[in-house]
Amino acid sequence: MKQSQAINNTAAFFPNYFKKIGLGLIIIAIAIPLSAKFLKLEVTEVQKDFYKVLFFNVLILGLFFVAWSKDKFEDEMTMQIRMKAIGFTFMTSVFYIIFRPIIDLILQDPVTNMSAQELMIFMLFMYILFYKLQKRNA
Amino acid sequence: MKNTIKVERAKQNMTQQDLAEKIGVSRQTINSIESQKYIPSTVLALKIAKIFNTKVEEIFELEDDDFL
Repeated sequence: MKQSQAINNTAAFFPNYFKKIGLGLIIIAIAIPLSAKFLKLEVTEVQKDFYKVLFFNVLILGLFFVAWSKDKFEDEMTMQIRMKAIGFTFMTSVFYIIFRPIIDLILQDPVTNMSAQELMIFMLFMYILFYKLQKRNA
Repeated sequence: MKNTIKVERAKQNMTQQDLAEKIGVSRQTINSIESQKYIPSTVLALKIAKIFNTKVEEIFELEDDDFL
């Protein structure tokens, strides 16, 4: 298959091998905090906040690499699927932001503001999910 | 929108993979076009017609619900 004939605007995406790098970062971002919790490592509150931000950012970076890397072969159909996935992601994110406090109220949980990191993780995860589902159904 | 790509491929004894390589798309894209799940761009439709040495209108046909 002639990769050189692939659609030109895929220059905006990371190369395909970045998917593996992203997956590695996601595993690190989940495994290390879980291991620390399991091993009951003692950290101060300040360190806890720092590590929380650090590992959230590593998770976001990993998800971003997975989401924004080229497939093995990109063409106009994959670009259209990407655009649809971005649209669905935006819509679900708006609904998530609006309805999450209401769900917190119903479940009698404390109603807190959503952090930017939480929203970004949600959006990236949704984008990857929508993209994979649409590609499977194409 | 209907198309006769499968018929044209059969006439020329061409697989989906062969056609995909000639026009620079994936085999999945060809499959999606044939099963009417994906409508190709003008450029892609013209390329397909050129490969089969025929006109675009003879391969792709609008249906009534395309006008809705």
